Amino acid sequence: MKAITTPRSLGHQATTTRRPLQHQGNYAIKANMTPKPQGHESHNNTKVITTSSHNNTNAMKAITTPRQQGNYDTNDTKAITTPSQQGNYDTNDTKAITTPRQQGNYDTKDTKAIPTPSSSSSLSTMSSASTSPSMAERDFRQMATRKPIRIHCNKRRVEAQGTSAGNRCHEPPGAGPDAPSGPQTPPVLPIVKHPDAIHACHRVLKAVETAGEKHLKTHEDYDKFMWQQLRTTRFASLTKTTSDEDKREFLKQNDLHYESISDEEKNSFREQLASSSGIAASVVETVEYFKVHFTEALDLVQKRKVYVHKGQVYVPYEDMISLLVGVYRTHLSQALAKTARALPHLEEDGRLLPMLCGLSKRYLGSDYNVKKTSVGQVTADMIDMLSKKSFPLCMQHLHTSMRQNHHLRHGGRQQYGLFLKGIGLSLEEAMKFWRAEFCKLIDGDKFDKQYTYNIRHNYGKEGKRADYTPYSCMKVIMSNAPGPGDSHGCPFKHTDMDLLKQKIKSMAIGELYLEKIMSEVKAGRYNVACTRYFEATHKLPLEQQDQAFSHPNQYFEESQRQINGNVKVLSNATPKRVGSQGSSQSTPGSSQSTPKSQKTSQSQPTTQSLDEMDDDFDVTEAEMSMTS
Amino acid sequence: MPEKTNAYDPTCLPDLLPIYYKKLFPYGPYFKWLNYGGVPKGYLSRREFSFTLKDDIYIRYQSFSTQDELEKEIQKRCPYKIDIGAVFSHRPREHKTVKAAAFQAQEKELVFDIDMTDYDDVRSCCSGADICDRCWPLMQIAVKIIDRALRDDFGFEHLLWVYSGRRGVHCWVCDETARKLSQTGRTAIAEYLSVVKGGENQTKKVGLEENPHPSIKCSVDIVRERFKDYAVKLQDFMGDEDQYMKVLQLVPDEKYRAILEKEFEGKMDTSNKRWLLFVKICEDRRQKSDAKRSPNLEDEVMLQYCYPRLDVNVSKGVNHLLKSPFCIHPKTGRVCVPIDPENIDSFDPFAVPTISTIVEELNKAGTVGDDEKKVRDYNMTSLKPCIHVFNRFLSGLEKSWQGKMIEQSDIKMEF
Repeated sequence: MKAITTPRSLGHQATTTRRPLQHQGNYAIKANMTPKPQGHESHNNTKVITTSSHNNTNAMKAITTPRQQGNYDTNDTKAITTPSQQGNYDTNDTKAITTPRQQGNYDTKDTKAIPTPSSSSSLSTMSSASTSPSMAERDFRQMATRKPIRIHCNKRRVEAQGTSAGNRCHEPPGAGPDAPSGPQTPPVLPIVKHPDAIHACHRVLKAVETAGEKHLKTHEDYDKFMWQQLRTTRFASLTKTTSDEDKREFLKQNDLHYESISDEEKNSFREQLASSSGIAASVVETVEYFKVHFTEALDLVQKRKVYVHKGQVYVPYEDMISLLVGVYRTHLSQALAKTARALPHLEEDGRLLPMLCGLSKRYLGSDYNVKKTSVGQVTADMIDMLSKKSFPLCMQHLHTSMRQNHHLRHGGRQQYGLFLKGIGLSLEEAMKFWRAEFCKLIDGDKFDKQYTYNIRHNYGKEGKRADYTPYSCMKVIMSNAPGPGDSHGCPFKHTDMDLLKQKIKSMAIGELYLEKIMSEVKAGRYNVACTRYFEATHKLPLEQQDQAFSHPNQYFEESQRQINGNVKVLSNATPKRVGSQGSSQSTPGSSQSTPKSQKTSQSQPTTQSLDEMDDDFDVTEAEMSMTS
Repeated sequence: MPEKTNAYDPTCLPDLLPIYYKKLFPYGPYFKWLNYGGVPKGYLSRREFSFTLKDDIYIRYQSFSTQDELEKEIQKRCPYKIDIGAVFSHRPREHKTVKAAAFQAQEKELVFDIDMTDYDDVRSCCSGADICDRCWPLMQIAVKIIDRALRDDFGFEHLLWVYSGRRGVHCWVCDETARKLSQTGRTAIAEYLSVVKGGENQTKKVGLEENPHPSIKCSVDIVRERFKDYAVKLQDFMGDEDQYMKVLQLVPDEKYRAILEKEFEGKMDTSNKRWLLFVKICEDRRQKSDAKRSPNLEDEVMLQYCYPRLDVNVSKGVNHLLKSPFCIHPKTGRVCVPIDPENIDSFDPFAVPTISTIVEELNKAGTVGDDEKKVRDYNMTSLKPCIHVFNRFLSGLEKSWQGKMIEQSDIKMEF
């Protein structure tokens, strides 16, 4: 069996499984799966894609007792609400138990329960364990990583709050997505039963994955996640415990032919190998190196973690995982491409597509797209005043930098311009604002030529006329780091500690706050630092804000709310948590102090962000033509 | 900076451009380059060109099937600037006839753009778009470092270096692997080559490990060779208090910073003495194993002052346009000529022919021998050596597709 599989192979697998109908149970897709939980959501709240009607039955049982739930007729689509399951499911996969973050209340069923000719070799199974940041996300991976997944996917969902042990799974047919299933139980899609339907089901699965992938692509943790995922696979454990033979077997089975380098070659590059992988020259001899083309190990190249010579990279054994990630990714993206082509079939079913399309958006906070109501609330002459009172540090910095230099470079104009758009500066006012400042240095004609296009573009008036959204903290922090001469970025991340300290001190911020801010910065929790800064500048008690900011515009709105009182703005101010109805039980302070949840809250990608980046290029191109 | 002999008046440009595009622009070699031997079929016709016309009128998605078509359009439009973009899935001219999602950038040379503007915090002579003899060595160092890394590390062979006409240089990596690189691949290489990182608010922009990556070591060697002549002598980079304080800010520990500052205020009164002392103190630090932070401090300083600063966004995107070689820079009138990286030290940006000089040269030559039509017009001007550099690059490139042609014809014959 090949461990690295593509979703495509899932399809074959399932259709070839004998009597899939009987033991398949139900296969329901829940509407509110959350691949990426918000910062405050704990794992318990995470919803899982599929639910099994086999309440309290473990996977093994579910599989080996066919007909158990065989009460669904072919072509009969029935809705089933999620069983509220209680109790801890054990995992069949022994590995999963040992992983640190396993909470014990959701399970990873390794579905090799039915012995198939291929699954007899357990070594070659890449079964993922659960060190991933979020469960549903992991499930996406699992589907693709593990071949033996069948349609029954025994993934359960344990409701954090719903403690009813009752088995509510057999709701009458027709309960449908609109079934009144209580606030915690979101609508569940019908079950698919017929062989044809199973195909459809696979398309759904893949589509879900596409959405998940799309979601992940924009994700800072993507690589890390993949890496982690593969780390926890059998292969990783192989590297430590099993014999060379088995490892080779693994590679062979997956058609991965890596050539390890000879001792002579190793000796001739000993120095280089040592310094690039950060190990002592004497140890190099004991390490096995593989020579591959650099395009196969791009992440290692990017981080300068391997020796690159004449287009070949020398990958030490322990970094093999990177190569596997690469292979895996290729497989995945090929499969996803196929999936994307399958999507049109889904259009026939009016229920699925909207849900799938919404999938990647539903975990996000507000995207701070300009609300009709707020346009025109801010005018150019108000910005000076507002920047002092209500702008986050990054925007304050951009503002002062612009006032000082009468210019901002492209990165700064984008970050600041879109932010201003987000707070309600209309295009006309924006034009006025930028022109007034820039024209202290250049004449109006030049301004028109060089910058108006850019500004109009941001407001969706040029090019492909996309209405761009302001950058989130994650985007500001993670992408497009400022280079020499740039003043954009996140001051908490992109400023030297000493300088930052001085700067904040100069704003007459109390010692206590300062200390707290700096310690958050040190820990790399830049948006938490920003939140503490907010409390300091708004004379709020420390840690009053139970949730860290994840968007500069969120900062602004919250600030306005503090200053103007809880009037009206309120509804605009709190980010919409679309996907977390029922699970957005934010316990103040509980989860936000853990670094992990902070990470997740920083990392709210938007699907738009990719498009934006693409479009940035357009702008740069246009601009480049003017400047160079 | 004096314009030396290449006097140029920007107002004449509209009159000169038609002559330049009619007589002097090297269409032959240019076409030969972008056609890549015709090996990938329809490569040129799917290539995007964009023109900047008079008054900054910008037109994108131009494409041409033949050299003739290209020639005619350029002569008709007389663009102030020509940009070269990606090779798309469809002809860019017809991009509106296909679905937006189907129209995709597929290939492009891997490009690098190094711009003197990005060095403003480490050069004291000029700022912005200006360059002079005192800061130009930065570009020489940049070309050497990037050229070495691309060839030795990544194994690329067909590198076209071009002077951008005013303040920087471009590099076009034309190997097939490079042209086919994905955005991720381009990003990986660009990041691999980026060492100086950080914006306005980060003083220390280079951090090296105790045993740096072999590629960085090579770069340090290249910088070290030039550092004394360039930074110490030409730039006098620790000449006054402001300047040496900037260097001292890069010293991570208070103790050594204080020692150095005291010395710098006192006896050590020139850049040369100060730098020697700085190196010596760095050595002391290491000896006393005080150098946990920044073990290679002096290397870090050298790199911060001299390491090439790439505009990574240009390199990352497959679909990013870059100014074509042999354009005329409208401000300086200089031709964007190819540079031979091996002779980068002898390349003088101020000696690059301007459009006025070559047109004049052509006029003179034209009156002498009208019969000898065989000589190409550009060979009668000071453009000749530049075209020679380009041709040498081309002959290397040609070899890469000659093999391919045979391969392809072998396949066709089906023995």
